[in-house]
Amino acid sequence: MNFLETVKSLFSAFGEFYNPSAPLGGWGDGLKMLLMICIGALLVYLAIKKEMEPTLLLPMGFGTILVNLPLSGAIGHEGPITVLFDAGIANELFPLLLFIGIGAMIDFGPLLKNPWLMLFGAAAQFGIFFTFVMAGFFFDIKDAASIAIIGAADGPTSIFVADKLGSAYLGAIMVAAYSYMALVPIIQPPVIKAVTTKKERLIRMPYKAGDVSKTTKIVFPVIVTIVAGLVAPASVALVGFLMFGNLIRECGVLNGLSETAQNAFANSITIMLGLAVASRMYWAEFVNIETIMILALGLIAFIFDTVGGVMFAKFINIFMPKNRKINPMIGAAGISAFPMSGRVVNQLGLKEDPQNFLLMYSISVNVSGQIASVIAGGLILALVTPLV
Amino acid sequence: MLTNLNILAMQFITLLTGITFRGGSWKQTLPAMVIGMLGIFLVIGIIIVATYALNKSFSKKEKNKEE
Repeated sequence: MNFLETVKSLFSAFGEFYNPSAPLGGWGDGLKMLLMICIGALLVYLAIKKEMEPTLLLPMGFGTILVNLPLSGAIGHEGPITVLFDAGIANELFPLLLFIGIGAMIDFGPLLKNPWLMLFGAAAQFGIFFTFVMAGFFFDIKDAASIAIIGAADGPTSIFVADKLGSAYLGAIMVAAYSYMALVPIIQPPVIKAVTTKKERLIRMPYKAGDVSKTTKIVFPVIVTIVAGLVAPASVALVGFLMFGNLIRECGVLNGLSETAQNAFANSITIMLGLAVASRMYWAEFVNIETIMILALGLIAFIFDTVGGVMFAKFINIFMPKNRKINPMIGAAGISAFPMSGRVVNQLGLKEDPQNFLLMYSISVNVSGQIASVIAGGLILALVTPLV
Repeated sequence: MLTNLNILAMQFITLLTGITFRGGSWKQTLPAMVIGMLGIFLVIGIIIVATYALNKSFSKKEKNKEE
């Protein structure tokens, strides 16, 4: 091999950008690769500069660059990212393990003091089911259900359900789920304002602080797991791991483990999850009209989750006495994007009236959304699996 | 008339996106939506009742212990 040929072989990857049979004069595939590399760079930028879900978007963005480089050794039969995907996502392990960390982070205390607030968490899952109907017009049932679960506003649930149903659009679903979660402060306020009046947004809700017994906090995760498991057995893994994490937190004898689950453990799993999901952001599978439709349907899911929660609160208000009306904005916090949604509702309340503190209610509803979204994921699996 | 409109919409969307429009999918998805929402309220309802029961029984016991 002469010098020129050696140099030529070193740069053979560049040749992959041009494929004579591709559209746009043979540059179509190359442009798709470049587009995906730009998307990866954008995710990295958003993670670092805008601090949008950085623990996930950073590995996902970098992974996207890795897998879309021509002749990438990161994917393929023995590529480490493909191996990571097979080891942790194809068998749904990573999202479940991440749930242990999430469960350990959640304090159900304020919600246990006012259990009725959980109703808003249930109502705010409306977007999932509404989107299921909408997505059904364009995708087959299993993909429609996987897309609808973007409305769970909960990354691990989205991955778990999409993976369990064998959806071909895992990458797009993940991008939509995590992007919209990070965009909750932009998506929710206009929707809330559109479906509430100023008078409703000004409703004050005095909060009575109180303690919940330690035993209640310990028994609660066990009860939730049993109830959800009996009614929707498909949700057992999801609910169970979330509640197991919470039990570690509340039991009082595993503080070190709880600390690890919340930080080092959750972060390690997230890195691997982000990199593994990037394997589904390969240009040949990602750059298509379906991805755009999934992003649009995901947005619909978030909007109708918000509408569902608010409208349910307005419905409850019909039956409430005048002095005990609910501020309907708290219903919007029922989507599971924790704690962004709770904070957004509180800030909206303060914007209307600087003395209107809704935080304790909105955060409680937000936490209930975490439980409800996981149960919704289980129900979607239970309802859709027989139809597939 | 409605069927004709449905066919027209299907053809338009298929032409525009290359994705097949499944006009009859609501027959499967709509019942699933209703059952899903009812199911989620049912599960959450049971959890709420159980939580009230937990609060009632354990807060009393722990108060008695403290006394």
